[in-house]
Amino acid sequence: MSTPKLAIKNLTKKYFLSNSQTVTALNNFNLKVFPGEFVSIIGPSGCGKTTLLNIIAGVEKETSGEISLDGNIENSRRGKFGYMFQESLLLPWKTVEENLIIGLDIKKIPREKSLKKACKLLKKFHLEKFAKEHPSTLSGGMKQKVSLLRTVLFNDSFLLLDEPFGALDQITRHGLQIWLKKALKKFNTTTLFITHDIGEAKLLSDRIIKLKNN
Amino acid sequence: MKKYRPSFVFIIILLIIWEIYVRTGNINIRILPPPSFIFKDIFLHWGSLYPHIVQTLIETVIGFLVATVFGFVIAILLDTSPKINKTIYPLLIISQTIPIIALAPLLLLWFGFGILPKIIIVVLYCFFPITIAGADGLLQTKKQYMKLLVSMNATYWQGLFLVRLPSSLPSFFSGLKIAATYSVAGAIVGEFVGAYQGIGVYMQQAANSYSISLVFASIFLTIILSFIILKIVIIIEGFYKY
Repeated sequence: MSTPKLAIKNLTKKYFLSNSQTVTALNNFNLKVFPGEFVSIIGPSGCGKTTLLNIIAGVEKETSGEISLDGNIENSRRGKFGYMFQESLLLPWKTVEENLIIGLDIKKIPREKSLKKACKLLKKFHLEKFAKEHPSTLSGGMKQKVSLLRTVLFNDSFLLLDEPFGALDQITRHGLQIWLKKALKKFNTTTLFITHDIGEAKLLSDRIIKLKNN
Repeated sequence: MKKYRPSFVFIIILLIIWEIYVRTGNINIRILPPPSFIFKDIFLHWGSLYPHIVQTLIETVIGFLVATVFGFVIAILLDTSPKINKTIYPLLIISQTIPIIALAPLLLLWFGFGILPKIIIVVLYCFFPITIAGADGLLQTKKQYMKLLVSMNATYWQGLFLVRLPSSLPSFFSGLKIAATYSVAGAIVGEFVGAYQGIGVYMQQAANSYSISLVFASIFLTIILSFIILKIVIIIEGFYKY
């Protein structure tokens, strides 16, 4: 079998509260995700799904455990994943195309080059007419599409998607699930997806993992 | 302009009440002149008032601009590290506890009768609300934005310029608007203590010669100048609203 794109070994995350109590969000969690795979993680609220993605993305620090990328243990993982949150987190003062290139600005890619990339991506998904619009003019579903494209533009090799459609109504949500499935086919992307919705997980995933409350 | 109509109408009503109250002989016209006398005096004495207005305006605008830059830089400095914040913040509070009117004669002794002490006084009046509002705005950046920046491995300065500063602009402009209303009064306090020209000087000269109507004329002009500066800030704010 090929080397896993992501390997998590005995990952534990504990929060130490001010009243000297400890909350264990993740306890000896293990996971392997292979290149090109779409893995969904489902589980009840508070079982540590978001904490898991935060730790993988380097936003939070693990208490113990090992995380490897392409076979190498990675301690500084920031910037190595495209991380999309439940909220679209589009910057309201920037246009759609400017929002798309934030990650590229952080990578210090020249403006002209990154705008070209954004334009190409918008065209690929027939969203070019929204390039100069501000997020306030977009619908909830459209904002999530733009947010996903921003994530892909930043890093299309490994996506971490944290309930990206959680705040949307059922009809928009279903439309976006189909869209996401088609969109990810256009990239050779490995995806770790978090959801509450078993139907959504079944529709999108190659593999589903259930997390339990600790 | 529509949204200011009720307040404009209210001011007109107050001026009419004032006019009627004085005209009906309830009060000596030399002690409290009616608004019509004051506006007439502004018109009649415009030639002598004009250089004073220009002088006050120059002091105000320079002081306000310096305070804006200064306040902005201090706000960023407060944000860069908790240690710097804890060191500077008490000094900022102390600077506001000193009565500026007491400081003004010292500034005059140190920097003379020129424009500099007035600019410093305007800066002292204006920088505090700008700094505090700016620092608060930076502190209140949405936590999710911060998470996004961290996940993208952004440096402190990238996060500051790409996300945190733009998101703090509404708060920063609130501080600027408060400062704008203080700025003209600040310049006039400076002129009171010692100057050759300015609305403050004109006001004092008018009071010394018992020209109460011209004292009120100076007060009205101070209000109008403050409103103009406030309006300019609001117009600039409009460019950054999203």
